Amino acid sequence: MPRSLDRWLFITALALFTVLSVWGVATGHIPLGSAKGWGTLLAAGLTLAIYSFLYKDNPLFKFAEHVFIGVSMGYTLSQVWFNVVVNDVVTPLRNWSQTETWPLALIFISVVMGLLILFQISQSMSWVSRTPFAFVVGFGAGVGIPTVIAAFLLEQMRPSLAPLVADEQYAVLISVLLVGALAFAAKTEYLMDRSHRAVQIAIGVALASVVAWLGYGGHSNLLILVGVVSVLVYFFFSVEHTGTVGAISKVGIWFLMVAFGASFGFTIMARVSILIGRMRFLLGEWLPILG
Amino acid sequence: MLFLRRTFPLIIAFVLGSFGAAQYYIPAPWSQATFRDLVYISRIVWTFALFLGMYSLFSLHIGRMRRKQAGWGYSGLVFAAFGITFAAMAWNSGGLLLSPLRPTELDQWFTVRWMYTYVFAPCDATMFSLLAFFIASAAYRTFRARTPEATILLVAAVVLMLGRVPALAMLYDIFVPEFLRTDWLTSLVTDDVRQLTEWLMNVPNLAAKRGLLLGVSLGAIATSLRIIFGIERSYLGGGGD
Amino acid sequence: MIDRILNIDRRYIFAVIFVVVVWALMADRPIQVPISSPVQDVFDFMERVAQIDDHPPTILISFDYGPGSDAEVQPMALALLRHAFSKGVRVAGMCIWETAPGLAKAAFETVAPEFDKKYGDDYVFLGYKSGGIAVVLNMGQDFSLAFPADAYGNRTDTLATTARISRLADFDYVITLAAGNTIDQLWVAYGQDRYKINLGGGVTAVMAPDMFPFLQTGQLNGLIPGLAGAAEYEKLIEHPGEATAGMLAQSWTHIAIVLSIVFGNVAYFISRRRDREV
Repeated sequence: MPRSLDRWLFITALALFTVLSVWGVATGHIPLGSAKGWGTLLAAGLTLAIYSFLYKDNPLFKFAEHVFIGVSMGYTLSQVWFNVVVNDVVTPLRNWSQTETWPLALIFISVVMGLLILFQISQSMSWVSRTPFAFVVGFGAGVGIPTVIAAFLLEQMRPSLAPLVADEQYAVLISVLLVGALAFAAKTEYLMDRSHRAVQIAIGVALASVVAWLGYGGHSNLLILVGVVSVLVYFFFSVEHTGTVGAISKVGIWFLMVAFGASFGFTIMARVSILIGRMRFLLGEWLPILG
Repeated sequence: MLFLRRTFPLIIAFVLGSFGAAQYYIPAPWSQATFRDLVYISRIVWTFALFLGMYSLFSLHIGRMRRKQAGWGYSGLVFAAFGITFAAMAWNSGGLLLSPLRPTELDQWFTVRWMYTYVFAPCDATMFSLLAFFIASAAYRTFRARTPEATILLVAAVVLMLGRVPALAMLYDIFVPEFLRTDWLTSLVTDDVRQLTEWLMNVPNLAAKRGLLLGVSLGAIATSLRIIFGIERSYLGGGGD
Repeated sequence: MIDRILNIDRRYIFAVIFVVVVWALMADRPIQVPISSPVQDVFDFMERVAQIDDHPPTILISFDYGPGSDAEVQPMALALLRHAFSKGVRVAGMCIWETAPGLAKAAFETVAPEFDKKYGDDYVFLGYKSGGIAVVLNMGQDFSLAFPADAYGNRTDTLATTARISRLADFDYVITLAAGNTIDQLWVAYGQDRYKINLGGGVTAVMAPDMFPFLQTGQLNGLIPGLAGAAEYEKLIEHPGEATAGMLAQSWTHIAIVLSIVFGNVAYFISRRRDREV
C-alpha cells in the first residue's frame, strides 16, 4: 500500500474520531468538564489506536502499546507497594510498640531476605540472592508435593474408583467383548493397516455408537475411565505405540481431540466476549448509540 | 565462600522442601506454627522478587534508549507513562507514599485509579479483544478437516459453539415459519443440542482433561523432588560458582 | 477463484466480524438463556448460605482477573454481589491478581449503593496480596496474618464483616473469579483440599473446559463459565445486565464463525478434488 494512502487513512481516521467525539460531547453524553469525560475520550482514543493494528502495524498502535506498558508497571508497583509493603511492613513497624515481638521479628527477617533477593541485579554479588530464592522455591516445591498428591491425584482418581455400572451387568459384558475385539483387531493390524479402511470405519462407527450409548445412557463413569486410561496410555512414550498400545492410544487421541475442540470452541467464545465488551464501551460510553 | 555460594542454598532448599512436604502429615502445634511463619516470610520475600521483574523491564528500555535502537523513542514513552503513574501513586491523594492507600473517586484527577480505569484497563482489554479477529481469521483460513482426528476436533468445537449459546434456538425463531415447527424439531434445537453440549463437556472432555491433569501432576511432583534434592538448580540463576 | 476465496485478505474477515458484532449489539431482540447445572449449583449454594441464622452469613470473593477478562467476569462479579446483598449476605473481597483491585472496587461501588450497603458493616475490600499460594495458606491458618488490614489500612478485626473471621474456613462460601490458574493451582489445591472450604468458581470461557474434573469430584461445588454463564446467573437473580445484553451478539458471532469454518472447508475440499483431477 502506498504511503500516501496510509497518510490519508490516518488523517481520515483522526478526523472521524474528532467528529464522533464532538458529537458525544455535544449531545451531553460525555461530560467534558470532568475527569470522567476526558478519561472516556482518552480510553476511546487508545482503544481505536490499538484496533488500528488490524489494518497494519503503525506508530499509533506502538504509541498506545508503550503507554500501556508504562502505566501497567506503575499500577502493579502501586498495588504491591500499598497493599504489601505499607500494610504488612511499614505500618506494623511504625506501630512497633503495639505489635508483638515475634511478628516484628518475622517482618524483619522477611525484609532482610527480600532485600537480599535484590542482589540478583548485581553481576558480582548476584550469588547473595541464591539463598532467598532457594528458600522460596524449595519451600514451595515441598509444600506442593502432598497437595498435588491429595488434591490432583487421589481426589481425581476417586470418582474412577466408584462402581462403573449400577445394575446392568450386560453393559459390562459388552464392554469386555468390545475391548477384546479391539485388542484382537489391533493385534491383527486391522486398525493400523490402511488397506482395511472399510473395516476400520465399521469398527470405529460401531465402537463410537456403543460407547456413546453407554456413556449417554448414564454409564458415563465407564466412558470416563476408558478416556482417562487411554489418554494416559497415549502420553506414555516409553513404550512404542504399536499393536494394542497403539490402538488404546488412538482412542486416547480421539478423547483429546474432543477436549481440544471444546477448548477451541470456548476460546472463541471468550475472545468474542471481550470484543463485545469493547464494542459496548465504544458504542455505549463513547458514542451515544447503545442505551 | 563456595559453601555460601553453592552448597548453602541447596541445603536450604532441601531442608525447607522436606519440612514443607512433611508438615502436611504433622498436625502438631509446633509444626503448624513453623509452617505458618515460613509461609509468611515467603509471601513477603516473593513481593520483593516483583521489583526484580520491574528492574529487568526498565533495563531493557534504558538499553534501547542508550543504544538508540530503532523505536527507542517509544521506550522514552514507557518511562513517561510510568513516571506519571508513579507520581500519582506517590501523591496518594495527599497521603504520600508511607500512608495506606486513600480511597478515591473515579472522577478525581491525578490518581492511580484514573490511570487504571482510562488507560490501563481499555488498553489491556483491547489487546485481548484483537485475538477475536485473529482467531476468526485463523478458523476460516486454517481450520481444515484434513484427518479424522481434525474432523472430531472441528465437530466438537462447532457443537460447543452452537450449544453453549442459544444460537440455534435464535435461528429457529427467526427463519423457521410456524407451520414447519414441530415438537421434536423445537426440542432438537433447544434441549437436545444443550444436552449434547453438556455431555461433551461432562464426559469425553472431562476424561481427557483428567488424564492431562494426572500426567501434569506426576510431572510436577517429579520436578519438585528434583528441586528438593538439588538436581534441578536453574532457579538459582547465574552469578558464577 | 477457489484459491482467491481460500487466501482472502484477512482484513475482509476482520471487517465481517466487526460488522456482525456491531449490528447484533444494535439489534433489539430478546433472547432466551437456558440455565446449565453448574451455574444453578452456585446459585443454589448461595441461597443456602443466605439461610444461615446462627451467625451473619459471610462470603469471600477472590477477584483474580484483569481488564483483559473484564467483559466476561465482571458481569459475574456484579451478579454475585447483587445476589449476596439482596439476601443480606456480607461480602469480603480480595485479590491475588495484581490488576484486579480496580475492577473489584468498581464492582463494589456499583452494586453496594443499589442496596444501601455500608462499607465495613456489610462489605469489605481487603485489597491485593502478592505471594499466591502463600496468601491462601496464611489465610487458612490465620486470617489476620494474611490481612491484618483492609486495602485502606483499617484493621480487619475492627470491621464487622471480618471481625469474626479467624481463618479461611470461617467464610461460609468462597467464590473465586479467575482468569488464570489461581482457581485450580491455588484455591482448589491449597484452599479447598487443606482447609475444606466450600468453593465455587467463575472463570473465563477459555478455562471452563479444564474445570469440569473438579466439578465432578465436588472440589468445586459450582461453576459460572464465561459470558454465557454470567447471563445465566443474571437470569437466575432476575436482573439482566451486561452479560444478557451481550448474548445476542455472542450468538450471531458464533454463527458467523461456524459458517466461515464450514465455507472454508467446503472451498478446501473443492480445491482438493480439483487438484486430484488435474
